[in-house]
This record gives sequence, C-alpha cells and structure tokens, in this order.
Amino acid sequence: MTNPLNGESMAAHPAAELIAAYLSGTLSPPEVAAVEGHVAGCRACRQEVTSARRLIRSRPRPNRWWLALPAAAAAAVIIMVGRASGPRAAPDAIRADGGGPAAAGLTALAPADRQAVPLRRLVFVWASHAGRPVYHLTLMDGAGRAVWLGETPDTTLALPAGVSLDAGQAYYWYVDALDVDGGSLTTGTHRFTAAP
Amino acid sequence: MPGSPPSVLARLLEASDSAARESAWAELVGLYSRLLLHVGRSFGGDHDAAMDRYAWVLEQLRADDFRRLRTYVADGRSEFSTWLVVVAQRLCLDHRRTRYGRLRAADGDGAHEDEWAARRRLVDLIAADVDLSSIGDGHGAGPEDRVRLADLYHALESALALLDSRDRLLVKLRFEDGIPMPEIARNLEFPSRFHAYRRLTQVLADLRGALERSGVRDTAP
Repeated sequence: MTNPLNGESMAAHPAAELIAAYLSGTLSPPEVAAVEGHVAGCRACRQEVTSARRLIRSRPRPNRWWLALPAAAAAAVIIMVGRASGPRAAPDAIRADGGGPAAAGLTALAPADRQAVPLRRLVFVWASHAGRPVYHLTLMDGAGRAVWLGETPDTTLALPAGVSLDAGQAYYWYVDALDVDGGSLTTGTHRFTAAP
Repeated sequence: MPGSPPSVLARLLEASDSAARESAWAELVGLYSRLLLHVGRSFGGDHDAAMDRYAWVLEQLRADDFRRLRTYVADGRSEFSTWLVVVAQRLCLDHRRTRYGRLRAADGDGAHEDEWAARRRLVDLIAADVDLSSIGDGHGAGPEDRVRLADLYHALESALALLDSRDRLLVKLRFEDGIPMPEIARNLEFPSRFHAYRRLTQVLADLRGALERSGVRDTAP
C-alpha cells in the first residue's frame, strides 16, 4: 500500500500533512481509503485522529480581539453612564435578549429571562466554561447604573444581603468569563424583575 | 480555508531580516496561542504542565529556522489551523515521551488486557448466532483453551482483513477504542447515527458469515 501523495509505503505512519488533509476532508476517495486502511490497523494513528478531531471541534475561536472592541466600548459606556449623576440611559437601551455582541460560549442559567425573582432567593447561575476562568458579574438597574459587581471562580453568586433592590423593578445582569490567556466570553445581558 | 497559507505565515517564512521575522512570529503566536494552549491542556495536568507543553511546542515550531512550519504545504488540502492541531498534538506527545519515556508493554499489562477485552467484546457481539458464548476470558484458561482462543482471534483478524477499510475502521473505533456511535457517525460522515448503527449491524453479520465459512462455530472444549 503506497501513500497516494508521494508514493511512499504506507506501512509508515501518515505524515501530519496527510492526516490534516484527511481531517479537512480534502483527500480523494482512494486517498481516504489508504489513510483509513492504515488507521484501521494502527491504534496509535487511530487515537491520534480521534483526539485531533475532538480538539478541532472544541477549539476556541481565533483571538480577534479587535472584533470585540465595539462590544467592550458599549459595555463601558453603559457602566460609566450609569454611574454618572446626569440623565440615565433608557431601559430599552439595554438589550435583554441574551444576545449581546459577544454572547457566544457562555450560558446564563438563572434567573430565567424576565422571571420575577423573590429578593431573598436571588442567586445567579451560569454554565461553566472550559479552563479556569474568573467570572465577573455585573448587575444593573433599568437606567443602566451598575448596582453590584461580583467576581468568582465558581459559577454561582448570591446577591449579598447588603445590596438592596426595589421590588417590582426590572434589573439586568451579565457575566464575563476571563481566562488566563486573555480571552473572554459573555452571557449577554439578561433581565429579571425583583419580586416582593 | 484551504488554498493558501495564512498571510502571517508567508511573511514569517519569507522575512528578509530578523526584525520582520520576529514581528511576524509574534503575530502568528498571538493568533494561534489559544489553539496551542487548547491542545496543550488536552494532555491533562495542571496549568503549569499545560504551559510547559505550550512553550515546548513554540520552541519546536521555531527550531531550525521554522523547519516544521516550512513543511506545511499550501496545496489546498488542509486548513493551517487543522495542520497546527495535528503537529502540536504530536509535539506534545514527544514532550511527554521526552519527560516520562515511552509507555512500555509489560507482561499482563493494561494495554494487552484492553486489546484482549476489545476482541472479546467483538467476538461476543458476533457470536450471538454462532454459539461462541462459552468463550472464556483467557485468564485461568488451560493451554488447550488458550490455543482455541488464539485460533478464534486469528480467524477474527482474517475476517476483519476482508472488510473494506471504512468498515474495518468502523469496527475498530467501536470495539477497540470504545468511541460512542454518534461520534463515529460524525467522523465517518454517515448521514446519521442510525445509518452508522445499520452499517455496523451489517458488518457484524458479514463477520459472522466469514467466521462460519472458516469453520468457527463454537469454542466449547
């Protein structure tokens, strides 16, 4: 059996280029058969191909930090405007659809969107992200003011007793996951109503 | 996308001075560090262990005037990131061997027993209609039983060799490697996992037929 790319014997393990082409789905049918014939008989190569596929499927998106600049700038404006003493941004300016510009990858679990939550039981929960990121939670009122900022390596945060919310009012929250190599993910902004 | 190398790679390999080379290298590292860390973390251990592997991979990619990066042939066959995952994975394995040595098979070690167990699983599944349910596990079997088992597995390997490569790979992934069927279906590009299950059922039936034709019907002493 010979390597269809260079005629060499396929008794040798396939080169990285051939494996990569196989994983990319760009080999011809005879080339695929040759690779699969070797892999079927070679546990080491089979494990290599299986684990490479899993890594490729689960890989992080390219670190195009400049794409996140508009979202980061918008988030900074919301927080800074909220903290100023002047007129507040209208609640509708805050997107409460969980679909902020960099929302992909981090899932908010509780409270559910637009849920009425008893204040004494307010716990924020989100899905964990691979690696060991630090999670930053921001809680804002309807005018965009930051009411509370929390930080944890865990995936839950309970509203501290010292933070008081107004019953019947809508609040907005989001979580950013910041990992060790500088990447970040966010849940996007979510809304709940403070129940009495 | 396949077709041409990333521009930063081309700039790196064609750089005419060290300043341009270092600038392109820094940019390449910036673009692909997360991917390389992703591969490094997959080998387990703590954060420091992953960073050791990451540093090793970068060092090896730079070695000999970026020899490994120069072997990436932009012939439209693979994405650079896919190639990088394959190469980084191999380099991480090299790193592990460099530090801990190769895994060596000792008598009665886990790898040999895993292979034995995998063959038994396959035989058990094929054996439903061929009355091989009396097959032992090889441990504590007498010399005659071990010879019969060896004959059975030889017949099984011969039958497997008659399958086409994809069917053989399907069987090995399922029974030797224990890969879940939905993943196998995706990897081998079946339309759905149900198609994969149906194909596997047919392949097992073919193997049963091959074993019967080779005279294997039971293993009772």
